[in-house]
Amino acid sequence: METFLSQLIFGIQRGTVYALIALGYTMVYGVVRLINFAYGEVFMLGAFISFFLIQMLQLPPVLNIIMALLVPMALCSILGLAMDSLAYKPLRSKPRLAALITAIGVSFFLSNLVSYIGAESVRTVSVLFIITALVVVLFTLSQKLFNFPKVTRYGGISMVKRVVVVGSLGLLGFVFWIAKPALAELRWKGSSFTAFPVDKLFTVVKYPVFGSVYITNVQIIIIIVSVALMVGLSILVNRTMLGMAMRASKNNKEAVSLMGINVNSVIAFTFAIGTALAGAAGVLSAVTYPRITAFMGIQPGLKAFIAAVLGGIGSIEGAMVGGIIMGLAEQFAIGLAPSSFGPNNIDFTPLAEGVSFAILIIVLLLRPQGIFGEPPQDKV
Amino acid sequence: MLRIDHVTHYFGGLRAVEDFCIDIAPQQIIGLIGPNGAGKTTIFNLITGVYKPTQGKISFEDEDITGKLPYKITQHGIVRTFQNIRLFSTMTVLENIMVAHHYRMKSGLLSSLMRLPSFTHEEEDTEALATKFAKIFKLDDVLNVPAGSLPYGRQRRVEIARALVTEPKMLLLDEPAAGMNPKEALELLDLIKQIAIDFKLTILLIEHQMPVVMGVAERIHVLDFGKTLAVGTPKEIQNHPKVIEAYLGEGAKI
Amino acid sequence: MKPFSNKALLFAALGLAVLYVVITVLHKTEVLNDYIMRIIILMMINAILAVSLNLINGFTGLFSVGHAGFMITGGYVAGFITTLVFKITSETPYAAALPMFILAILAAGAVSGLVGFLIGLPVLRLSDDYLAIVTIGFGEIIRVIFNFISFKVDRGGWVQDVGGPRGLSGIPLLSSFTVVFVVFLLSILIIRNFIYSRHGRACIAIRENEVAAHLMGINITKYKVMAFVIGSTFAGIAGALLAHIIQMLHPTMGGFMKSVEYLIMVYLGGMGSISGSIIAAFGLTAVSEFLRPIGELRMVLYGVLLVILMLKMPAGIMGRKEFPFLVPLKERQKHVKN
Repeated sequence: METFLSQLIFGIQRGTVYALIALGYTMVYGVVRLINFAYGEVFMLGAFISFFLIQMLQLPPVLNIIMALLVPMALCSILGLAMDSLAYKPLRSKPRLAALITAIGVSFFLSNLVSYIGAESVRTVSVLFIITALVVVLFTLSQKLFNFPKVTRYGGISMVKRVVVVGSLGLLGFVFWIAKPALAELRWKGSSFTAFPVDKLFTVVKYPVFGSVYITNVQIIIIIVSVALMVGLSILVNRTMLGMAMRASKNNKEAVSLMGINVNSVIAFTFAIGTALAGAAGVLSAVTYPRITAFMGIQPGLKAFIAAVLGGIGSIEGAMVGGIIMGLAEQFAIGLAPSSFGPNNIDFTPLAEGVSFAILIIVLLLRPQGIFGEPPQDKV
Repeated sequence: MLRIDHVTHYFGGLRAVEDFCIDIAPQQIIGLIGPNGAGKTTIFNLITGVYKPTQGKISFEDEDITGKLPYKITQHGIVRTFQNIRLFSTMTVLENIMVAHHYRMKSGLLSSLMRLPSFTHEEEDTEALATKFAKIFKLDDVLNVPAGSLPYGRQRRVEIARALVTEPKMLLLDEPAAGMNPKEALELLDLIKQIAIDFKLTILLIEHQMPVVMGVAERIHVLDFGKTLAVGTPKEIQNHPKVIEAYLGEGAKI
Repeated sequence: MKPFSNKALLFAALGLAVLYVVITVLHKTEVLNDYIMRIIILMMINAILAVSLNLINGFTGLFSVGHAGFMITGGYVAGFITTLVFKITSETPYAAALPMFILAILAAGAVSGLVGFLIGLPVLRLSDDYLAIVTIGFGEIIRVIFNFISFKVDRGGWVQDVGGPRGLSGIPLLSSFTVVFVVFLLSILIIRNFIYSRHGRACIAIRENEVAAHLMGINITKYKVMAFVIGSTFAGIAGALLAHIIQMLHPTMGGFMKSVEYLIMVYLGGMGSISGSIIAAFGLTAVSEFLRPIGELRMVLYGVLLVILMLKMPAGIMGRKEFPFLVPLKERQKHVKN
């Protein structure tokens, strides 16, 4: 009974994190039919940004907590907008495969970038960013002044976009440059595990629940925050004009644009919200499992997608329910897997990781539309 | 040859086809007309196995084919063309036609991989067959052109040629004259009549251009909102009050 | 077979024979050192992987992102056979080890193909996005499984733990230039023959318009599975070769990251082009050796490359074109006419 309860608590906690990421997947998929593989990386970035902020700014406790959550969310949001406008939007008229591959590319880029950045290498990256920014500037200038090189198939990138790209690359390059001493002090190396400083946020207090099972204040806060975010999202989607636009876009984008709504803005907004949630999930996860690394996003990203599929991809309730179920299933599998079995003392716990994929196969075979989805219909 | 027994089909809550019955004898040419959304293409999809009817039975040559997989139904001898053309756009016209002969070819994996003589012969034969059909449809000058680059009218011909190479007994044509001007449509009409005779085909035809249907079909079924409005010869249908009402509204006169 | 009616093929065959002799001589005379030979061998192995993935993704239009999983399955199978079953060591004379190696390669291909079949059958009916996730998941499951399987091996005197998180090490160096060259040529030939046959046409038709292909009498599930199985079989064969050149295997090598590298080769080369995959594989292997000094940054650049590729050049380098000698005589004559 006690194991059951403690696994239940951990499972719900895990589940809410999956749910938050799954929401991002499901919203974006609903509107543009794209699986944004890069959500795992946004999750990771949320954790890392939070880590940095905590280490660099020493704020009083309550303020610290709020900042550690909200600032990464905001930054991740901006990242989501960037991903959409730079990588996904140009491909919206092209076959879906191209966007999928791009998403993989973005995911690859982000995780390896963070992995690469260490105290020694950060200035290299900084230089690269600044050089890229300069190249774009030079290219643009020479087009304007000398009309060379002629704008052929590469034309059509608006001035605004160029300015944004140049500006942000330059800014990031600058930030990375000056970050070097800070990184050196933190003995930073993205590819290895870094310890997230939970103690700077909370002093952990345990509340006994039943027998030797306890729940910590951290866990309570995590669950409350996740639920609050989910409720907030629900209100947004169901009670606001924007939410209505999002829901309508899922069904019929043309009709929405004919109503005078800028569909591209709706899509951009969807991305922004999704990435904000993923970033939040990253922070919450880092607080739970304080070892963070550049590649920590891949597995949760995958599992959250499976959760979204389980709940019915495109359905917001589905993502929430799917996430919780996934978290519980995984937790119970891990908790119940025998760690020493048979004469060779085989440890089955690693196999419990496979539970999520087993769920995926079962869902796809038995009910591909998920819990809240509609059965697939082909129009010939 | 083809018999549809009281087939009703629902898409979720929407009833697309209601109690549809038809009996087509060998080598007949039957027309299926009706306003847009009447359920005509759905019937084609039901016959060819794309959907499994919610209720009812479909049999071909006395064999029950209700809800069988599409490729199996094609192998039974029923083939169709599509309302919005579905060609293999990057493959050449010749390849498009050759690929439809696929299941009639016998070369196994091993003989293909090892390029045995039996493989080479079969490839040559298939190519000859495809070329012959292409000639019938006046496509022999564009054999090596990617099918997607052809003008609309010629793409339709490729589709029909492709369908014929499956050596079908029955051909379902879904708006073959769509997008054609009256002159082209009548040419097509003659072509259809000719291939029906030459290849001993039974034809079920969906069409909106009345001259085509009236000119080639021996019997016409009229559909509206999934229900059969009328069945009869072209002359009977032209004067049928319900048909006129469905197309032109109440009180109209042709 | 009519081998000599195809002049270009004849020239190509001669050219390859000459190339083989030249390289072997240069190697023996130490002009090409072991390091470069190793890169050449890796190029060919990667080319097999790229072409086999192209069969699945490029020609049949599926979206498999788990190719590395098949590769590593084959590698492990072959590695287990040579180290544990046949107990080949560096002492074993090559002539004796060779037949066992070939057996191991065939077994690797067979097992990978079987796994491909088991996975493919239920899963290939799914649409692109789902297939991507399932294949990524497959890679992860493989990683978990191989992380888990370990044996205790009696090494005469002491017991060694083999497999598991430590991976497999001490695999004998059996992938010689000759063996890899021959396997490479055979693989390309087989896949090319498949493409230019009614089976290949069926696969391409499935890519172009699945519904139409189905309604023209093609059993689409059968052919999707066929392409998938053939692709995974060759991935397994390549894995066996890889294991015996780098002499070690680790479960993480079969993961998402590696699969993406192969994906890059396919899309860079051109989705429907065997020649493109070969060029891209050769090129990328060489480039990644060059870029080795900058370490992880290389991977970052890959990511950027993928994005830019999709934005600017989605057809890849070769698009759908092939080297003339790969295309059968009849086909080539036709294209020339137009």
